[in-house]
Amino acid sequence: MIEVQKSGEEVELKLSEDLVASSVDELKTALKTILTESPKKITINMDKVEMIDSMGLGVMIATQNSLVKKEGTLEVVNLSPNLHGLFKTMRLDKHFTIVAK
Amino acid sequence: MRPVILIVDDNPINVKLLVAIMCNHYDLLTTQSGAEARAIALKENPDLILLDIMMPEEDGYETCAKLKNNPETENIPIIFVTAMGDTSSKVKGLSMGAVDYITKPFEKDEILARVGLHLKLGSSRKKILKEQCSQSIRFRQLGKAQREMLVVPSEIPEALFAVNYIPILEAAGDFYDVFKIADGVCGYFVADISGHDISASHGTSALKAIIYQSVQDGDTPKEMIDSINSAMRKVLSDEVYLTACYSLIDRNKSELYLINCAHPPIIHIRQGKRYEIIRNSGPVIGAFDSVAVESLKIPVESGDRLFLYTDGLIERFGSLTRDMEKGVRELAEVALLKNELPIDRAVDEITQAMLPDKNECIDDSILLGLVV
Repeated sequence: MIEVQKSGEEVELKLSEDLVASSVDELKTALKTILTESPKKITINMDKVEMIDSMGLGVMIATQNSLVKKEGTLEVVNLSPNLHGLFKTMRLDKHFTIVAK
Repeated sequence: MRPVILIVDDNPINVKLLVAIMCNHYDLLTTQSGAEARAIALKENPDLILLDIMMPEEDGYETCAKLKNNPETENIPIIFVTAMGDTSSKVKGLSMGAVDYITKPFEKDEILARVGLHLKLGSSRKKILKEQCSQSIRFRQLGKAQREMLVVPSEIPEALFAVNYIPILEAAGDFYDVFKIADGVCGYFVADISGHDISASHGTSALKAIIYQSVQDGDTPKEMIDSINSAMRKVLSDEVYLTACYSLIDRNKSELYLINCAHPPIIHIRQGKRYEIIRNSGPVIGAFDSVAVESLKIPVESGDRLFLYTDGLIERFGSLTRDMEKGVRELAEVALLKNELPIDRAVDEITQAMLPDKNECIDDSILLGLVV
């Protein structure tokens, strides 16, 4: 389940489970709809997420690339220490904002 | 029935040369214009097209774009033939859907090898698109063709390497390549393309092409990674990226140049006495328009060993960073333990130790070991 909260031109998505191959489609569908509205900022809240696989990371990358074209920004927040480390190792923090728990 | 190849080049001498090289192996159609090439492609449905870029009126890019835009011809593999070796033209061609590049002047063996490879890949893709067989069978056919483009140690004995590749997912995303750069200088490349769809399989053949071209052009390791990044950015779908490590060994100077792009760390066994885990991670490839990588220079000695691998090899330790660390250390310890064995046996026994039950593997795995 993904909880979507909109306020003005900003959207926050709260994920309730790990972001892996089996669950990634739901997030993709949600983001696709949101991106058509060209939001200024998308925040993805990872508070409940312990694991992300390559498919999940791919969605983060694709979202950032779509947002850049529309002059929007991506923020991934409440990352566990492990996931925060993973995003930094892959240098994803050079492309969008990441915030640890 | 022999495969049919369409040759398109405005220069009649080039056409003659290509015909002479290939006529014993394939049935050939030829033309000197892009527009006519499209008409022939539509009528004859060739198995592959060799397409010159620099042609008057309609150039090769335009012909390629038009062929790709027509559902009747979009799946015919196209290899560009060109005198241009620069990165932007390579990338442009690959991003337009060409499967490979051949540069002039022609080398007979090279042309036959690459045409042969892409005919195999092309026929597998054709089956995937047309046949009503189960997905696993379709992917198996593609996987087999993909593996045939991987270099085996006996092809480059001076590279002193061995490799163990366990493909689990049928359209594999794991890839390696080994190539000679100059006397005493060899390159070793291991990559893992995320996702395992058709896009990933197209990615591996484009990777092979871009690496080959980059070596021909005398690119530095950084330039090679830049070329790969630009090409992959265009070839792969939006959500697909790759991690990779590239080692260049200069045996004359006893130096290793290493670039790691978000890939598990390389293991260095020094004189069979101790191991070092080289941690120099950098950005993922094919995800963003630019990629800022750093090349690390490390002194090595004759007899040292290096191990490059993909994360499938250490998967039973879990995929989270913390658990992966355990896997990397265990791999380093096993590699040190097996140092007395010849490199090919060592690579097999290390793989066996890391993945004792292949039936339980859930991801592809590559272990590439080399002796300095």
